[in-house]
Amino acid sequence: MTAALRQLADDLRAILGPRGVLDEVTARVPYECDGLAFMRHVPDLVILPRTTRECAAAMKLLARAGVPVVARGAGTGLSGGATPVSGGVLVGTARMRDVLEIDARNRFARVQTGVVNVDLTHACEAHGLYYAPDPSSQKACTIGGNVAENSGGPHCFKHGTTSRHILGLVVVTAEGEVLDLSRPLLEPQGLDLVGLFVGSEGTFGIATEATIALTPAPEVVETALAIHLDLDAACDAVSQMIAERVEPSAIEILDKLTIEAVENSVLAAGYPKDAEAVLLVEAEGCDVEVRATMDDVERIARQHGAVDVRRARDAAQRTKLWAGRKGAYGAMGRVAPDLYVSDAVVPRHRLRELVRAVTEICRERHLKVANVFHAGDGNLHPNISYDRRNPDELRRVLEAGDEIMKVCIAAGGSLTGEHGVGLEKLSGMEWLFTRDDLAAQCRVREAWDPMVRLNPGKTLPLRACMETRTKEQTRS
Amino acid sequence: MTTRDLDWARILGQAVGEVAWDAPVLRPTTEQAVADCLLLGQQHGLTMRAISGLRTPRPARANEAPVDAWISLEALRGLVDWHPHEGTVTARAGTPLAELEAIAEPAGWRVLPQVPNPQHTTVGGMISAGISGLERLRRGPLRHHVLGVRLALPNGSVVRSGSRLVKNVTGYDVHRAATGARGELGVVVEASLRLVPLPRAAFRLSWNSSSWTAVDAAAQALLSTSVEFDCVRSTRMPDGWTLVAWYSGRAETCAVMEQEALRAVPQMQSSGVDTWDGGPLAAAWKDTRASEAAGEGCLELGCLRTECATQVEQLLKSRADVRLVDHGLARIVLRDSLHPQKPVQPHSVAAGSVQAQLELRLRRALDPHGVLARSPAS
Repeated sequence: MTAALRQLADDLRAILGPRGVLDEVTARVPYECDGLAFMRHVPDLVILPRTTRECAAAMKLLARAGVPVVARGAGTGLSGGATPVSGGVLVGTARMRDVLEIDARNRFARVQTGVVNVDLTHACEAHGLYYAPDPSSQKACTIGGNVAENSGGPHCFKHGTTSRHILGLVVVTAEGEVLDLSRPLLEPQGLDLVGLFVGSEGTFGIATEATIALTPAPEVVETALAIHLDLDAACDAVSQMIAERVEPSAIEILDKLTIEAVENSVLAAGYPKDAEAVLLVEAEGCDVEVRATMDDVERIARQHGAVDVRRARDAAQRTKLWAGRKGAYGAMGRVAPDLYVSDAVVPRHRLRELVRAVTEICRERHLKVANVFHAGDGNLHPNISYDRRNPDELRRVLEAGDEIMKVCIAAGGSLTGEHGVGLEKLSGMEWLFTRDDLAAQCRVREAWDPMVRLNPGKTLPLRACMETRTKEQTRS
Repeated sequence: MTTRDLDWARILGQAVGEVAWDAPVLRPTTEQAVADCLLLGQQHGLTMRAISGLRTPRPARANEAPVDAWISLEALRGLVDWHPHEGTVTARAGTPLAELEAIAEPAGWRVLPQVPNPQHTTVGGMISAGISGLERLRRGPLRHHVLGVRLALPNGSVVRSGSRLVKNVTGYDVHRAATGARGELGVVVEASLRLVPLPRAAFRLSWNSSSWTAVDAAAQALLSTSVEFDCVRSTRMPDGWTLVAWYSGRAETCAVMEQEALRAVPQMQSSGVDTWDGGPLAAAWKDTRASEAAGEGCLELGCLRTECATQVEQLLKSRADVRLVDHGLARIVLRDSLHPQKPVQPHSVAAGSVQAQLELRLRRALDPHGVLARSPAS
């Protein structure tokens, strides 16, 4: 560690206290990557502020020092968004875990952004309310991470991704100013800065507090498992549900490899191992609404060859069905030590064609792919199992990931539905957007962070931003 | 040389004939022509404002600075992408919402927002003004339904944000910031919208009372049930108030919800549950939509549920021109108000604040020379 870095650590310790600064290498190594494990870089320092004020004071110091800053929630992201590739200081929210206010009558909560997603639901369930976005990692991921990535989850089919639920934010800017947009307003004052901030992947500022809309718990919830002997038919059933405007709260597909991995793990959910695919569908509302919706779901599933449709209202049965889905990524550890999770989105009437294309891309490269995805939103998650210690296999995985993005873009799709661009999909940004599109986004980023110190090397390709700056300097 | 004499014909293919408020009205027919007009304006230091083309150009507010040229989006009209099995639609900015409704509704989809006058509200105007519709209580504000936009910028480029997909987090959500930005971040030339299923059935509750307190209490009682109403709206009448509440969904669900609502507020009269297809309820829904006349101004108090009742009551005491109240949203329509588009907001961004500085930097990022006319509020 250099003398300058040692001095910076001491100055930060004066603001944050001894527990707020990690400078020993053994303490910093756990922060070297997120869920995208093949890209790693140990941060020079890790700081853990306790409050917005502490965070702002630290950020002022870091602005003066001119070092890169990377924000991190629980590190469950899958796109490398929290990996400090340019070194610098990593700001963790692990000590900002207070639920500041629950206003049950007005259905909102104010929390520090280190609060874990599911803990917010636990904090407000006594009021008959819950927080709707439910990523698979909801037992670990934080509200701050959800805000940064605009995270989704199975129930976002009905309830929408994080941005629909964030009413306000407190943001510490790159310069260490506090931008207080926390008042719970139905309409933004001025520009919708909150809407713009959500999904900005830590490149605009550090969100330290969030004001969050809470959703009333439904009267009845029913989960159905439709068992298909053909993945194509399961995809077609989903496309027809969309076409017929059926409105359940979640529509998920798990394919055979996923089913096998789940059923061979401690998360065994009772999915039939001889099925080629299962559809996991949930509806919520009053009794008659749920019954009618699930009758439609069952009818369509059977029209498309479902050999059985199991329906559960009992909480224990439903929990078991979902435990398999939410634990699918963990269960894939049985197949290989590492997992590459793609996140492309496609038009929902083209599900069958694109799931087939993805499978073919992986087959051509001799890769094991499992599909477990948010079918109702057209959000594919091809999960490629691999071993990162095998360089050739890693090369084939990355090549397949690029091909999957290209084929989805060509079909009118997009790179990411809920995981963010991060490091992983940087190259894809140039396939999806024109230079002018990227130039405009670079300028928006620089309006928030003129020195581009926040999460450098993420979200926007550096080349595109440099070209923009050169072009504009030449013009002026 | 006047603004009118600039070489607009090179971009538009014809000379500019029309002038409004001493400024030429440009009518580009392509999105690139919109951007080229802005670039020419930037090169000559002009201030420009986009208008839907369905209205007479005029300053949006009396205290607003005049512009050097108007860009009418009237000729930028028509569908770009529509698939009846996808639940999304993409259209050019000058397309009236009525045209989208005409293709979406026969396929079973409802276009949001349900604005008072879809014949005279365009896709671009709606997004720039940030107009939400009658169903906002249940379906949320407009910005939840805008999936992506294409923006013409003063540097001559046309850029996109978002996509045509129902789910997408690729790149920054500039379309969220552009929604309600009154064209200050760029001219919306195309937008993609999320559609929702057209109701299969509905019912309408109504009740007249001379007492605001009684009407408000009834509205609060409705809102405290588990019924997810599309809207709960009070309209001022010569002898008091009319409270109207709508619920739509499956017929069997409507029947259950109607019973629950009537248990909570027994004095309300129900239309009874009826199917939606072309029936009298669809016509009555149009009437409720039209109860807010096109061009009427509104106040968005922005408060949440419990704060709202107090704020609305205070406003009723201080103003005689309150004509309509959307309960649960604290949205208030004022009689004879002339502001055509942007809701008046009682809270403004403090000058010099971190927020104001950031907003200024964002505007400069996309419009460094100030071509796009600013609203007095910004």
